[in-house]
Amino acid sequence: MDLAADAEADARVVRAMSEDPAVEAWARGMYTVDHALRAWPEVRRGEKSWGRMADRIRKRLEGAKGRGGRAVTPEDEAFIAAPTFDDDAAPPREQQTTMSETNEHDADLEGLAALTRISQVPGAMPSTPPKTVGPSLLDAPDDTSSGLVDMKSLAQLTREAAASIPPPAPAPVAAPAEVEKPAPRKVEKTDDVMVKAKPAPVALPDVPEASRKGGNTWLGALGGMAVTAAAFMFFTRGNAPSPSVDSASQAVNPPAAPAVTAPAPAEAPAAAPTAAPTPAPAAEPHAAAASRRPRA
Amino acid sequence: MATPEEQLQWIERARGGDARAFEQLVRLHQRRIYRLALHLTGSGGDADDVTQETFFRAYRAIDRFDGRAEIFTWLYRICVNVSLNLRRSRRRVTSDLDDPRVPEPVAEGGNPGVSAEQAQSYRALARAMDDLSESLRTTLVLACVEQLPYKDIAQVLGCSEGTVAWRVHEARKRLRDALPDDVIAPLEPQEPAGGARGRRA
Repeated sequence: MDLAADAEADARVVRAMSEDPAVEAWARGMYTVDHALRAWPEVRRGEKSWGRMADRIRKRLEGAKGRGGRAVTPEDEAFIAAPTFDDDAAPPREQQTTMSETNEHDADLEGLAALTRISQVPGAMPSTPPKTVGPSLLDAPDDTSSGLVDMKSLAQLTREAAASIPPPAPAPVAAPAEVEKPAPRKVEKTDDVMVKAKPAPVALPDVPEASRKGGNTWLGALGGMAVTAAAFMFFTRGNAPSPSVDSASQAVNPPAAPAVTAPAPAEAPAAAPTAAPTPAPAAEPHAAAASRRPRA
Repeated sequence: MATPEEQLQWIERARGGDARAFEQLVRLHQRRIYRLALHLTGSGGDADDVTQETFFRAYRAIDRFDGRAEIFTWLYRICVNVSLNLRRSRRRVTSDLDDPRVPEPVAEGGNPGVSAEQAQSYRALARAMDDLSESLRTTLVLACVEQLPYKDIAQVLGCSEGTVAWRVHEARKRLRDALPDDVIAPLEPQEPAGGARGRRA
């Protein structure tokens, strides 16, 4: 029924209608209902009646003189937002796609993303690193591997590290504000082309209490990136000699030092931001940490 | 019929507090807003109230109107919200003894109109629409009674065109299942749609 006028009908439907009278009758009734809706007779109302309605509306608008568009209250906002229905019926597939579509690599990518988060969590302890895979910087003569970093192994490391982190305390849930009417505004995923967006309030980053003592947040982010590089370098070390002579690992390892040396949890994030600009002092803890790591 | 440019000028003047300019928009769109409100509320008195409230809310929030959409789709959205609120506050449909949605039968020999049988069928159809869920009924009215394109309906309701199409199909199917053949029969078009009807399901 919703096909274009020159579109061909579904052959299966046409065949079913020709073979089964009940199907044909049902389809004819469906068509009739649609026609009746589209041809619904107009309500009879005189021009004077319409004029009186317009006058009433104008008088009410004049009562709000000078407020045209000037006083948009939260209640008004609700009326110009997309409607929310009690049932909000939608096709099953549409409901599923409101969530992000699954990807076979999502778990691994999430693990990599967790690298930056783990480094800033107090008390984070890395798990035992897996066996070194791939080539080291100094390839063995008989090494025929591709040299690529195994992303899945790297992600597994982060998942194990994440499992060692105690769950955070649940955030307090604010009581919802009472709204007499209308229905609460639904967050739409589609771009609302009819309503101008309100200027977003400036949201300050939520800096953990411990980090405030230690330094700036950007240093923590830099530390996270350093962890990623450190993990990369660590797993590609292979049979490399003692880290004490591996200058590259020393330069990028400082953020891991607080976790390995096991300082007091409150001090761990503080060490991470300050470690990045001062790699030299961190070389000693790194050397101690490296000595404890199993060598491939 | 005012051009889109004229309507935009009225909107700009209304933003400055010119109620007379906004009244031009009222006179231009009040009929369609009232028709939508009537089918959503099922009551003539409520439809009057909803129509007034719709334009009043639109006037107050005129600064928030984004010119990317047409003004009437914006008014439709406000009308849907006002109608939903009113209907929910009523808890049940206040059906007039003479349902204003049902066309009055015209005596034979007069101007072409609906017969008594057709009027009864429209009454049954209106009641079946009242039994639909909010989303199905609203979408069906916008699509079939107001005959808005699916694209515009998606803007009004803030959903995808696929959702609109699915709701329309689902609503029609439920109406078909709710109405017996003898009730539907008087509503058949007088002239068959020729080849198109044979090709379409």
